[in-house]
Amino acid sequence: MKKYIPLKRKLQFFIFLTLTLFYIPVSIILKNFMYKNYLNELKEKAVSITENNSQNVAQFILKGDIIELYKYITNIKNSDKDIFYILIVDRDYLPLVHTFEKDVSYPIISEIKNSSDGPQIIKIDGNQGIWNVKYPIMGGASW
Amino acid sequence: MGLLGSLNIGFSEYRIMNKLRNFSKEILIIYLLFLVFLETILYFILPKYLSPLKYLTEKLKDFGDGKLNGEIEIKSNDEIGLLAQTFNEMVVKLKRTNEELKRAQNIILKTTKIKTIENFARGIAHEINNPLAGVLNCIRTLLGNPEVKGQVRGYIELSLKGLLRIENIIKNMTLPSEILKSEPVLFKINEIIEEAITFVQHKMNEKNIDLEKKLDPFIEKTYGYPECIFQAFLNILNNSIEAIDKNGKIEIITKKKEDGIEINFIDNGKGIKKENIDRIFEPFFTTKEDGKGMGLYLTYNYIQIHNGFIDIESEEGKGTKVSIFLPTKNGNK
Repeated sequence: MKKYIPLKRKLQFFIFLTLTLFYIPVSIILKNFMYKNYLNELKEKAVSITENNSQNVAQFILKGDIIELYKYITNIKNSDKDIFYILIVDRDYLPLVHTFEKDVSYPIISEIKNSSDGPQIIKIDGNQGIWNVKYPIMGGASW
Repeated sequence: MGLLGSLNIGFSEYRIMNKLRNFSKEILIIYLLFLVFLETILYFILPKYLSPLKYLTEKLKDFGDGKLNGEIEIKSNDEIGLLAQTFNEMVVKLKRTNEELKRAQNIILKTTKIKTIENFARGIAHEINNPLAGVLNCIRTLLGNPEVKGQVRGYIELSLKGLLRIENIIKNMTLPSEILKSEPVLFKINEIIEEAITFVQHKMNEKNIDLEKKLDPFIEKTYGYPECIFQAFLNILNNSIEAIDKNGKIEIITKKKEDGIEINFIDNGKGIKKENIDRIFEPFFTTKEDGKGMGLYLTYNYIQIHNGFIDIESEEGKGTKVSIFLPTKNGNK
């Protein structure tokens, strides 16, 4: 008798193929959706942190109490694991205080400099996926 | 209020990516579990749904090997059920066609055999006929002589009797070709049957034979030689009566067919031995002590003249069925 692939195997393969074909696009769409969702959450959180703390930061700057300011921003960073760094620059874009272990990397300063004065969310490094939320510090009050 | 500077918070996607990686793993596990679940269900459910196909395949194989007798029993109300039903219909049609083919093959074989014997016998009859006429003429001349007396006359008369019997046999053998010289006419089969019955009624009464007639009143007239058909029916009826000892039954059925008439003579007599059935239409074949073996041979020829066919089915001790088909006017022409 001629050799043949049993119907049972064909149906099993058909189920496998259907599920796989269904699984691939669905998983891509879901991952994309989840990514956007998580990212928005983080952005909102970061914006909220900058908004809530900009006034206090301004007070420390006006007092010239840089050590207290450093403690203050270190506390903020430690309170949230999603925060990679906190950096405060003056109006000439020179770093005042930051939480980096070493020096501030040039690309970050460059990106901040190139952005407008208002609140901004910028992607700093595409490979590492670092986002920077910039919020202006006004003399004693929020902007 | 002047611009003092800007507060920058950097956050990394690293944790998002971790969450997404975990999410992907979860989806993959769900997919694999679902796949295993479905394949397991298929593994257990499929044999149940595929078993009719396996059964059908086995039956088809049996059918191919000629082992299949009954029909396939698949009651599923789906394509497989439909396939089985179609297969059963095909088996019935094939069986019917096969039987018809065997029957036709049998008839062809019988016809060829009978034709060969007939041609041989006719050749001999033709060769005998001329010298026989001369001998008969001489014997009649001798008997016309008053001087021939006593034992010699007796011997000559005995010879004449024998020679007349030979002449009669030769006449019977050449009868079909003689009949064809006359003009065919339209006649009703049922009337011929009734006429033949009146000729044998007294014999049936003597043996207390019950006659049952189922004659279709709507059968068309047929075109041919009524005297031949009458003789054929008479021969069949005589054979049926002779086959019945006492208190038997003869059934005569006529049926209108698409292009002709079917006539059946059924008796519950002693039947015909299996080995004799194939020889029953041969000339000079007889199982009777005083028979000439010309009755069914002539019957066969009479039906052949009408482009019809005759077939005999018989079972020893149970009876005989003689089936005749005669084409109606259009078919016969």
